[in-house]
Amino acid sequence: MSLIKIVDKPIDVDSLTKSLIHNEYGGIDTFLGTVRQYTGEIETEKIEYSTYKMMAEKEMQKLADSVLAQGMDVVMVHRVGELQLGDVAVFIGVAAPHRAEAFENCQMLIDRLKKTVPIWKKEYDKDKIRWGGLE
Amino acid sequence: MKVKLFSVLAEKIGPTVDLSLPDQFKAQDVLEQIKELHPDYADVLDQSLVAVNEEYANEDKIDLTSVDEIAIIPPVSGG
Repeated sequence: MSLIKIVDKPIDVDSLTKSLIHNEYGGIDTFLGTVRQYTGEIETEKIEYSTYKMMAEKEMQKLADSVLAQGMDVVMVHRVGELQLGDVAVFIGVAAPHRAEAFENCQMLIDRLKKTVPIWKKEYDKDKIRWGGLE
Repeated sequence: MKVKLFSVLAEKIGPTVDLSLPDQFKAQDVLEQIKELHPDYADVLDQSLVAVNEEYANEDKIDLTSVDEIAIIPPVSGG
């Protein structure tokens, strides 16, 4: 059962992963994006994610639809609000008959999510606050 | 017309900005109007896209009568 949504509570990785298990699929690939402490010299303390929720879920659904149309199953869940180091910010899962399509589409979904879905991070680093995405 | 702002723009300017838009306009016109009101954020606005009715706007002219909602989308950084 495909699930596409933005949540403001911790992501339950186990239950989302289990939801992708069906008899017709033999390969499930999942990607977790977590809050990282160091980016080079920069030390991050926490990240606040915000979103334009209605549009973000629509954009995520568009991405998922391209994979669902090929007969695979998709889960895309992004968390917003204040996240601490190690917290799961995003879960992407693709279930496919064979592993190659699962790997390929899981990577495609996270790559495109990062480019098109209106979600923003405000990174609280030790030296200052940084807004993600800005040049 | 209240235009929704997000991320750094919402925090610095506020959750919405009030614009008076003509009957027909382009996405770029929306960004230009906000730049005039808030020149300090011109560099963020230059990197931003416009969404009309929760869809990214293209280069075409937009009829004001077809608009329910406009939002400014600064560079996204989810994941």
